[in-house]
Amino acid sequence: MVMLEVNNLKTYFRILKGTVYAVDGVTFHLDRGETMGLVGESGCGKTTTAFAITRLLPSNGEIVGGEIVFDGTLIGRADFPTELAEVLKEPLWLPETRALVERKLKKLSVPEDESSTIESMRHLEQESACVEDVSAILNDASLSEEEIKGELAAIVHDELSSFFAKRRRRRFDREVEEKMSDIRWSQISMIFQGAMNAFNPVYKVGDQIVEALLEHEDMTKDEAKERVLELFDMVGLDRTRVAGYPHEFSGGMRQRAIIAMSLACNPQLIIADEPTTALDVIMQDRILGEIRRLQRELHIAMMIITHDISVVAEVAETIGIMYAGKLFEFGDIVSIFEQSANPYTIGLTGAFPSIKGERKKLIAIPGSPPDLSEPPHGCRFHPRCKFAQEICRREEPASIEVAKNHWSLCHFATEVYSGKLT
Amino acid sequence: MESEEGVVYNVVNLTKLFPIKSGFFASLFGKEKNVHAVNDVNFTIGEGEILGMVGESGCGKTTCGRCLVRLETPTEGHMYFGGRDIAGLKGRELKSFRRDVQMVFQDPYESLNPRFNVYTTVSEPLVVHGVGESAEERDDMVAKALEYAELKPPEEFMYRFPHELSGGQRQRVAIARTLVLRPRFIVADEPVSMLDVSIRAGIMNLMLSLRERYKIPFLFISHDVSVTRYMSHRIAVMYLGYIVELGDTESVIKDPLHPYTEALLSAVPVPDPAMKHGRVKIKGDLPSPIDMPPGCVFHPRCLYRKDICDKETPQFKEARPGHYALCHFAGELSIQRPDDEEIFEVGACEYCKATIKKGMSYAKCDCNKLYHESCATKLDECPICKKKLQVEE
Repeated sequence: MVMLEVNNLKTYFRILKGTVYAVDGVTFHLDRGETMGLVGESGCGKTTTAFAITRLLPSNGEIVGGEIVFDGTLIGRADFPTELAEVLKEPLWLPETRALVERKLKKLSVPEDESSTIESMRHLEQESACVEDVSAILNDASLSEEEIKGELAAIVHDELSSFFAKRRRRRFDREVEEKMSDIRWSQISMIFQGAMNAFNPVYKVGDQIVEALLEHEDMTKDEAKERVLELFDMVGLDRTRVAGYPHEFSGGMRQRAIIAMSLACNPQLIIADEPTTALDVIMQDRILGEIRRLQRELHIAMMIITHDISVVAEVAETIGIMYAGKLFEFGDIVSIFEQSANPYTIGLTGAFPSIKGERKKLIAIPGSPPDLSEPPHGCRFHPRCKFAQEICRREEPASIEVAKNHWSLCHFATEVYSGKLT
Repeated sequence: MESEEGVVYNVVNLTKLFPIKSGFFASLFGKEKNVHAVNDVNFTIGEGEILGMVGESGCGKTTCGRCLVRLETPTEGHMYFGGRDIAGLKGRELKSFRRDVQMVFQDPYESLNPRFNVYTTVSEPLVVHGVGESAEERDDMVAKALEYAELKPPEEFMYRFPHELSGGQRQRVAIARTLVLRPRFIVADEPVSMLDVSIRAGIMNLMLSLRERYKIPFLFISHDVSVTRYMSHRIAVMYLGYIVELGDTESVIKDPLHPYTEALLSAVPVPDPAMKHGRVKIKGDLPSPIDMPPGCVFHPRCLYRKDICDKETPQFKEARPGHYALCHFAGELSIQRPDDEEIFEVGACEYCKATIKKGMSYAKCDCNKLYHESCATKLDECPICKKKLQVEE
């Protein structure tokens, strides 16, 4: 059963120089009780994806496309006019707009969810009217391409600049935000990068977890304290440590305390951003074992974000490989490791040394990852890809399902999968 | 002993202690306390050899590396570099020694001066040591060093600043800076741990090709066993300031002698989803390097511990030709090897048909069918006898 669905998510950052296309069209899903690994190099948009899901983006970051559905509730989506405005900037705007309208018509015809209030219903109604307008313009055979673009741009301009539309949108955003602050921590919790320093150094560790509990759960202080003791048992920390300060904990213990904190409100999904990066291998192995045990016992879904592909291989069932803001390969981990359908994944696994088996020569991927404020045209990996053809420079590839539960973003995905290209 | 044929560096009983500042009364009545960073370490580095040094953080591997380039003065012991003891060098002699040894640091984002361009960074050692007759000659040497570090063409990089370079290029500049003096020995302290995976392999291959071409010996320090295996000819495993095992890379990785090496290897994650391996064979946490455990330093965490271990300090003995271990029972313990799991199969998974290997967690149903842990979670109950699946350890 699908629990988290991320559909064509686009998250951009506005900076002085222009726009950083940090996450650009990422689609994946996560089942209940499943572990997914999100792997990629630094600056490829892994953490931004996580922040978009939990809606913790910095103020200059914005979801400009796609939607995020958690457990049937819409927790993040781009506004139709904003999304349309982004699509119109692209060279292939016409087919993209058609695809967008089609998707929106499908989504909007069903009621979003029961908890929607009158305010947000009104917003959605307005938006569906807008979608219908756009679809009418698209289907008008008497208009030329240029005229269509002009009309659409006018609609976008009206929607984005009118005072009432702005106010309506702000209210809707506030409502989604409120819904999200209920979900955050109680249903989706997050282990942040550098969790070693995530605790406030001047408060006792136990008190900080109590605070989180009181904020989100309806319980008294004594009940909360009791719960913290339970959590400490669960992650294998000594009960007497509740009254300790963060500096009295070793790195591994702090990591365990962070995991205890993320488990505090019985979440259904934990997003762990580099949970073991600062730890030594022995401690890393223990923490990973702990995570796996807890997940099995409590049946929690997990999304592990890391740059270390071997950590994911240890714990995850599905894997997503990100590069330059795009999800290059997604699917079942065994299938991807044994028979990858993407040149980037092959490059990545070929660059990893191992202590098992024979000593192999490592093959580096030439060049370095692109600057995401000016990503390369066509396939974003083509300047470094050894299979790159003319089409890769020109056209952006689409995601192809090469096998059951195995998608790859490459023009030659099937050829790579079947081993015809080597 | 001092100068053997083909040995560049010979380290004998190297010890480095850092004294801890204590209060006035404690210093009068108490015993002076020290952090035992490096304890009685012996090894040699041969001509054109790469010695890998692995261990957890705080085990003294970086201090050892810094002693070798004399950024730290050792408390005790001798270090023979080309037959000369350099442990106590001072002043002008030390400076001339430093011309021959260089170091590559961990973080290329911090080890380069942001206000120096590449040319200034790389030519600085030449200026300090007064190498090169004229500016043109220095230019030429800098260009050559950049070329060796595969920054081509050098003119394009020479006048850039560190912020205009990617992480991999910065580390190449740091390597060029060490090469410009034509050193006879290089210490590389975690040179790739801050770099991204796709770039890391390039830097490692660069260092291997440098060794190949110029026969410069390296001390390669890393916490990552798989990276060290790829890089080095021999591996030294450090624990709490001691070298607990030293031998040929493949011999140490494939057939370890010391229980600590066994634990370290069992914890290394492997990029293969079929190898979700089991528990690490170690207990407890790293003891403090201030109050060292008596006897064998590893005994509080060792699973093979016997009575003798907490009383007597073990000898660093050669249990196999060229393979040393600091253990009373080196060569006598039946230690698990990393490739062992591949030999012992438990059976095949009923659901996905892949093999289940020893050390993986799996579920066994009453009807004797086996399932992977992940498959069991997916199925929840056995499709044949409809009983709930319990995962065994």
